[in-house]
Amino acid sequence: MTDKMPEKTSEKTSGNTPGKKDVWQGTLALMALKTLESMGPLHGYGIARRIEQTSGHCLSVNYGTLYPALLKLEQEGCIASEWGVSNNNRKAKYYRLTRAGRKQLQREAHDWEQATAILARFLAPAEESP
Amino acid sequence: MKRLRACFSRFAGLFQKRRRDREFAEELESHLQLHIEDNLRAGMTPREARRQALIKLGGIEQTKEIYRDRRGIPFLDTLFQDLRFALRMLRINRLIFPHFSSASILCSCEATVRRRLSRRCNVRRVFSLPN
Repeated sequence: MTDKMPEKTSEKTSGNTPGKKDVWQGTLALMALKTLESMGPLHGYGIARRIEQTSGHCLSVNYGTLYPALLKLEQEGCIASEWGVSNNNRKAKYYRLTRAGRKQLQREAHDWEQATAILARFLAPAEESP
Repeated sequence: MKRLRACFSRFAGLFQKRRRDREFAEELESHLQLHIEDNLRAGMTPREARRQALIKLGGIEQTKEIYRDRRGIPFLDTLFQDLRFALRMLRINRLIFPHFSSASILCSCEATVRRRLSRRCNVRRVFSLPN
C-alpha cells in the first residue's frame, strides 16, 4: 500500500477563506472522480462547487488547480470530456467517468480507507493493560 | 498503462497548441460566467461578482500557464521553440551571408568529429603503451 497521507500542502495560492482548510495534495483528483460517479457528467465549475458542498464548506478549493487535475485524469483515461450546454443555456465542457476511471476510483478509495483505518488505531485511546 | 497513455497524451499536446489554448480559454470563460451568475443570484453587484469569481479562480493567466505545462512536455516545448528560432536565424543569415550558415555548420561538425577521433586515438595510445 502506498503512503496516502501526504503532508498537508496548499493546492492554492490565493483567496484563502478564514476557517477553511486547503485541499490535501493528491486528493483533488479522487474527489473529482467521486463527484462524477455520484453526480454524473458535470462541468468544471459544477465539480468544484460540489466538492465544496460535499466537504460541508470546510474545504477551500482553488478552482484554478482543478483544471490541471481534470486534464491529468483525462490524459490517464479516467475521465472523458465533451462540449455541451448547461442548464442556463451556456456552453460548457462536461466531464464524465470512464470505466477505467471507475476502477481507479475503487482502488484509491480502498487505499484511503485502509490508510485512515491504520491511522485511527494510532489515534485511538490506549487500551488499559490488565 | 495509465502512465503510457498519459505520456502519449502529453506528447500529442505539443501539437495544435493554438486550438487547445483557444478551447481552454473558452472553458475558463464559461466557468467564470457560471460563477458570476451564481454570485449575482447571491446578491452581489456585477463588479463584485466578477471580482470574487476571479479571486476564487486564482488568476486566469496563472491557471492557463499551469494548464499549458500539464498539457504538453515543457522541456520538449522549449527545445522545439529553440530549434525553430535557430532555423529562422540560419535562414536570415543565409540571405545576408550566403555561405555563412553552411560554413558554421561544417565547422561545428568538423570540431565534433575531430574531438571524437582524438579521444579514440588517446585511448588506443594508452592501451598500446609498452609495459
